[in-house]
Amino acid sequence: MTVKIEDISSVRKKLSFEIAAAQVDAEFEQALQKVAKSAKIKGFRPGKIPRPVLEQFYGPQVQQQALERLIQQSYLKALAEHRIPALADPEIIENAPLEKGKMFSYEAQVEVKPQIEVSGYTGIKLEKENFEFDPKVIDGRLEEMRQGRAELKVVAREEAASGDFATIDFEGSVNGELFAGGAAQGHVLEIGSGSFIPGFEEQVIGMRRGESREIEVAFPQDYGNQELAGKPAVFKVTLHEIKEKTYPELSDEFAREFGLEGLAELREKIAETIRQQETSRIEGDLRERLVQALITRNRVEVPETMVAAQLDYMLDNVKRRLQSQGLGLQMLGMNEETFGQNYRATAISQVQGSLLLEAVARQENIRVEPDEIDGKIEEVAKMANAPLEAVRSYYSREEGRRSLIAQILEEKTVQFLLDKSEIQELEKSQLSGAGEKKEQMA
Amino acid sequence: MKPLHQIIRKPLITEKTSSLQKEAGQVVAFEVGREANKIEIKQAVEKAFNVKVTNVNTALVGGKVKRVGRQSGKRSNWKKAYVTLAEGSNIDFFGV
Repeated sequence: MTVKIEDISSVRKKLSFEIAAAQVDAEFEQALQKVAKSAKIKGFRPGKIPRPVLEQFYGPQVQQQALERLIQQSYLKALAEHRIPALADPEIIENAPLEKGKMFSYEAQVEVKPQIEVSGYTGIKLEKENFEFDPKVIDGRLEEMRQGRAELKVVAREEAASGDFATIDFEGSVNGELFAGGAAQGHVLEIGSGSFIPGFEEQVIGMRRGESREIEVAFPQDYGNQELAGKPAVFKVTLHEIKEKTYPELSDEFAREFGLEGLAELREKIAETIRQQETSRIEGDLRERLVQALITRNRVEVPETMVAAQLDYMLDNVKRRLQSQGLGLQMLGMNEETFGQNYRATAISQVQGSLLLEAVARQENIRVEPDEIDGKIEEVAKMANAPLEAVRSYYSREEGRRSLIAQILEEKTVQFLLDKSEIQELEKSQLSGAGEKKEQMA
Repeated sequence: MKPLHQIIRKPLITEKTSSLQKEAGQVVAFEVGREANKIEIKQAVEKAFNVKVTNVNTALVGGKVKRVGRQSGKRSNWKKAYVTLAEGSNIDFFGV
């Protein structure tokens, strides 16, 4: 067997194979013998079928088997011998049909991971957003928390006012006749929320507790129910209770509800989460800029297989996220095909980025040490709030381990590159928009 | 002459007949019509396969008695013919 390897491009290789006649024959022989054992032809006992008859009956099948085995063997051998990092199954073109006693030749085209020499990866000028802590954000968060903790409380006030939550019974009639769905008891109505027919809520204002009143309103012209639309109606309303939304006060008491010591600690906790969120966002942005800079400095050809895999991965992610919200891809006005078109560019640059980082790691001899893996596992366990043992056993599996190592390697490489870059810290408003243009999908 | 298919029913390809082919050269076997005689068989084979025939042996084969439960029946008797071809002639049943 002889193999000739040609590079079609940096991501495609052509392998031309020539297989000697002797080997072809041997393969035919083997395939035939295999068939002979199980072949059944009328008039012959199994396993006793003479060779010529067998060839007559099973010729094409034997040829097919021999072909498959020949290609598989020679192709895999070539990959192993020449260390070709094939990404997908090859496209195979036979030069001539396989025949007994003749030399067989074929070509295989396969996509490979490009061998990249990265250059200019030190001294990259990068802009980094300057992290500024704004105490106002804390107040905003606290206010939100307060709103979230609001309670309805019965008030002593006698008259209902706008903004109150009134518990009412009502019974509506059109032309003196009750209509379906027009009555309820113990209904809680937020006055001023506009959830009832216009005019209704306004007339509840000023009602006293325990009072009954007849409220006259007209259904709007565009009311959902055709029969009622535009008609005047009379509602008999009885007011039972008046409640008000009360917000808890910002005090140590409030903080204690969250299991903390006091308000100061709560503020601190909030500040810390915000700081963490912001720094990780800024780090992510910086990393994005770094990768973008690498890509612009190094033109990389991307294997189609990797782009497709990345797109699949992104699509999966998006789908899962949508599904958890009970949505589908259609809600975004996309199907799988248009998704592929829309995010192809993103996928390509992501693949480029990871290829480049990998190449830098290789060139700089960046490696992952075993204790770094342990450290990362602990970190993951802490972050996910999962028992250390469970996380460790998850990552002891081959696949998980490999992806973890890849992740650490990438982080180390990014750190290495950042150490070698000139980073300029700027205010948020002064950043050039390079980082925001690209949408972060994964 | 009778129609060919009344004389030659079908070729007989079995362990026995294919080994004949090997040893004695060109001997092929057919299932033939029971009323067909050697002369007719010779002519039919020569015409159908465009070969030369040197000898024809025939044999009557008794049908087997087959039982299904209490019922018993008999398969039809049939005739087979061993046809020796002249040197240089051969029949490829699969290619025809």
